[in-house]
Amino acid sequence: MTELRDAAPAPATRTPLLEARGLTKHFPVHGAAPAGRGRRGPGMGAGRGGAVVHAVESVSLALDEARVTAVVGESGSGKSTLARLLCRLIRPTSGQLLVEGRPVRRAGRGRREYARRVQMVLQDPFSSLNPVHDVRYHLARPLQVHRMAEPGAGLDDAISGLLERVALTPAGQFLDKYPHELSGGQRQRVAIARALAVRPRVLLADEPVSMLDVSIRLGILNLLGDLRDTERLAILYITHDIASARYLADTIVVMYAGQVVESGPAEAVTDRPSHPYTQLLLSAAPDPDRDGPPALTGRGAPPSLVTPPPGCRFHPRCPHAMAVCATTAPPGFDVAPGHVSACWLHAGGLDAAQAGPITPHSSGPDPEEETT
Amino acid sequence: MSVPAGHPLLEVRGLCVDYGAGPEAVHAVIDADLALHRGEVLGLAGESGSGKSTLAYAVTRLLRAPGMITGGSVGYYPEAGTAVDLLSAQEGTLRVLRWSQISVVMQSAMNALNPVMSIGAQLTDVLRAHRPDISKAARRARAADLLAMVGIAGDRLSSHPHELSGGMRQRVMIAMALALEPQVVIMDEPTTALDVVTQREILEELMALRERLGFAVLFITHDLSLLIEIADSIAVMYAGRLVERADATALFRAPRHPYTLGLLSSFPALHGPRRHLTGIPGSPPDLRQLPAGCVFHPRCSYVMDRCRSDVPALLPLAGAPGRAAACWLQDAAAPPPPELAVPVPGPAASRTGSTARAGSTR
Repeated sequence: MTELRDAAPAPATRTPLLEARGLTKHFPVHGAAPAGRGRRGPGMGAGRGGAVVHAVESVSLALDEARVTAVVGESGSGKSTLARLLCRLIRPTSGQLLVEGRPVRRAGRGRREYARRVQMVLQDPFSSLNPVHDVRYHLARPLQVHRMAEPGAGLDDAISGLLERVALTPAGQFLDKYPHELSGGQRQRVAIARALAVRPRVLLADEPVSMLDVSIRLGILNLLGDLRDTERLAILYITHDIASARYLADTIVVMYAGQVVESGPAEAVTDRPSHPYTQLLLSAAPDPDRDGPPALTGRGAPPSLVTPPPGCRFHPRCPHAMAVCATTAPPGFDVAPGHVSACWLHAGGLDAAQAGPITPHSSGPDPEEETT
Repeated sequence: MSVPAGHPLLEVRGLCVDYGAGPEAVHAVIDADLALHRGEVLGLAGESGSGKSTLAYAVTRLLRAPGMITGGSVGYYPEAGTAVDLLSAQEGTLRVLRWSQISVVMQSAMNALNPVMSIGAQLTDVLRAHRPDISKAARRARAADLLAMVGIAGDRLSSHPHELSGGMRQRVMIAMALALEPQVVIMDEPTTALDVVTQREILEELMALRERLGFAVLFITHDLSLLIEIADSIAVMYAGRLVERADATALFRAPRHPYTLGLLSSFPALHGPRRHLTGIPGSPPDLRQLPAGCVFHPRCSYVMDRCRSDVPALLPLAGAPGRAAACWLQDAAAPPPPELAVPVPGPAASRTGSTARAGSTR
């Protein structure tokens, strides 16, 4: 019962474009048999004798059309593993993926069909583009592989169209460039254009701006925002920077040690954080507006994921830890409509949250202020 | 030099650094003026390729070929003893000064620590080289003290770097840099690779140590929002040049250079209404093909004809002691645009004002 359903309030009735239910990934620690590879049945890999890294534990989330969902967490929180699972680069130990409501079959069949709907943008545009190929090649390949464009003039038009969609104009200037001739921001735009080539419905962006210079990060974030608004893409934005998540995302999902600890409307999560870990993250984040040095609301480092702490994985660091936290993992509790916190402090639901000891600003039912 | 009262501990004047020679040379640092005062945290902010690390390596004479210092002076004025020009000093002088007076915390603790030596051996190595008179047992005890100072248990002395987390490695680096109680500690992106919580813990420790030991810090980072929180004063670099220098609060509340303003509006806020931000259009220039005139002009939304041909010097600003900006908008020929002329808040209105938490070190 550690599941935490992300429930973005606005398109509540719509079927999510991509949904994960109870997604779990355990990596065997060396010596153990490889899990989730080969032709074994689902869920068989983990836990057989050898130790495993509990990288992602029972994560459920939904990516809706024209919404940006941010996954925020520190290194080792499982956010990149989650992206890889969602992209089907690795197989889950257990759990289910649904594309537009239909379960994804586990077999390798349908991979190409899946890739047409779900595409990924990686963190480092210096290594995600092939240095020996020019921009034209990078963009032509997905178009050819997925038969999205006729050879010849149609292909060139499609490539130019892609470059224009990521604001690399005039397109002709970029077609014959090699990655080393482009700046970091331009490279990341090419990587995004490549992902857009197959007209996906879902874009998974794993730390797309963390390798870029500060002054050009916003350009990429704004591009993702535009793609959400104009092309109605469902975007997963993975980041360690909670301020940028607040800026771009509609929904924020906070991960800690492989689990979702809090999710909700972006501003609700950052302005009224209800999970002690989210509060810790926010207290540590750089903030020039702060009056004087911040008071950290916790200490220490994330636990080992080979032997995660029993109960709530955050309890060894939590300033509010109670007896129950050390024994039983908290399920997700509603603290406001669409705002869920996996913390025993909120066990009483909405009423308790309002009187909760750690959320003095919690305002109960809260008409979400949308910024789209 | 527009320096506040009291002689600076470290004074950089007209520093120029090139990579390579002849017409192909890349000018990585051009005419940099900087002053670090006793006990001060001076932040050096800039994007990759802005020359901030090159400047730090030049100041400490750690620059490697093809990097070459082509001009300027770096004066070190210790409390006791004679002033030294670090750029003309002999190797022997430098050897004495380095680590004991001026130490460096490198960017990547992973690479800066020796993977085949235990932490204790690396810490005692410093002491053995610079304090040959103290006994082996005393060195060991001092190494344990140093680790304790940065919050690591003394029994970790026998650990190797790979047995420590990233945050602990960075703490070891800081302990090593402080081993000989230097006057100046140069920190090159010391917390960039760390998670925010660890970063914050280390910065807290660092600031507490600074209070206790009184060293001055030159803190280099690309994260201006972090710098505003921890630095006393900040210098902003762009494409090899210092473009603005000011007290941290003044820089944050009332930037005078369009690049600083652009950088500040590149960091989304953690509070308040969500505003659409635009960042800075374009990307940092290629240092091999710098634009004529002001290096920032192709990205500047206030660009004037003059900016395309004449290089603005980093000049003190009238009516703002300790501040300098390299921008033609500030040359008093015409009033600058309102967003670049925001009045500097007085001490009461700054963040040490009425809403400040108790215990502010500022």
